[in-house]
Amino acid sequence: MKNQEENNPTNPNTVNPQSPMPGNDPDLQRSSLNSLKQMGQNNLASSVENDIHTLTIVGQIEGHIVLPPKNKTTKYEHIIPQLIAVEENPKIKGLLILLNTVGGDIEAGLAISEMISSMSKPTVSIVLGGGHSIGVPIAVSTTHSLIVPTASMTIHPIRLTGDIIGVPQTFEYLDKMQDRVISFVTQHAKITEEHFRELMFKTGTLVRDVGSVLIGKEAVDNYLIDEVAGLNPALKRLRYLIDEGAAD
Amino acid sequence: MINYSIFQSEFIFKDWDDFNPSYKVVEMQNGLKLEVEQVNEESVRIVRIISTNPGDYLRDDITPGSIVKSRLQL
Repeated sequence: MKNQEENNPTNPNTVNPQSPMPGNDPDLQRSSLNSLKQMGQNNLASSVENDIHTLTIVGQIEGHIVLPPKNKTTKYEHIIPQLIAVEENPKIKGLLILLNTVGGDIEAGLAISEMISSMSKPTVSIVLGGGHSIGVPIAVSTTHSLIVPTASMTIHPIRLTGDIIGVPQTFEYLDKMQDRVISFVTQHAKITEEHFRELMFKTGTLVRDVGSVLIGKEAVDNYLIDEVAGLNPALKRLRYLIDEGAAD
Repeated sequence: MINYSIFQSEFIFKDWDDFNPSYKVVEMQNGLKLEVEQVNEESVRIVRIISTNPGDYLRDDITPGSIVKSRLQL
């Protein structure tokens, strides 16, 4: 037996192949309540028009393997089509990326970074909390990058998961994979390859690893990030880039 | 897989052996496909949008992670 709510074809939160898609119901109040109950967040008024799209990249960057549910993840199969949608949507003039990630799948992270860097629309990233490991190429992939004073970025060598064969080719493979990250970062930030490698292989900073931790201003001083600032300067910069692009 | 993270793999893949998600693809009337996971008898969580229309990925009513009611028994 189906209950009354399930049988209601206008229920905005009913997924049913025989009925219209959820969201077509004009009962916004009910939709908002459902969103609050299920997602812990309220809907913004739909009448608010904004030409800036905000993308949050948090937790682990999830790639080819679905991670166990205790991990908070950002899935690349969600992000990549969204980037295409942003690029294609004429109503969206710029992209703001909020970054608070501990890293993740190297392929997924580089894929997202390449997509962002090849967009025609202005993009601005803010590193909040942390932009570690594979978060570094994502942070520098935008037209302009910012970091808040308390955020940190960890730069360290990559690691392999699973069985490792003790042959020189294993090291060469690892080195090649590492070079992909290094070349992307050095092509999209002002930091030189030599200096980035120096930070990556630095000893004596991390307790259980090799590498460096850059906090706020240090990321700017090391030519990785463009500016130490927060939300308002990020939006101002994005608005400036949008206006500059429109003027061209 | 190469995991480039400050977290150790042992931490990320903890409980991996007990993790057996059950996903199913449902097709909507307009042809849009959603990959969903059963949450309970009457609700599913949208896991992934399967669409060639980029606009579908900006729709807030089918944002991945949303829990929606379903008449389907997966």
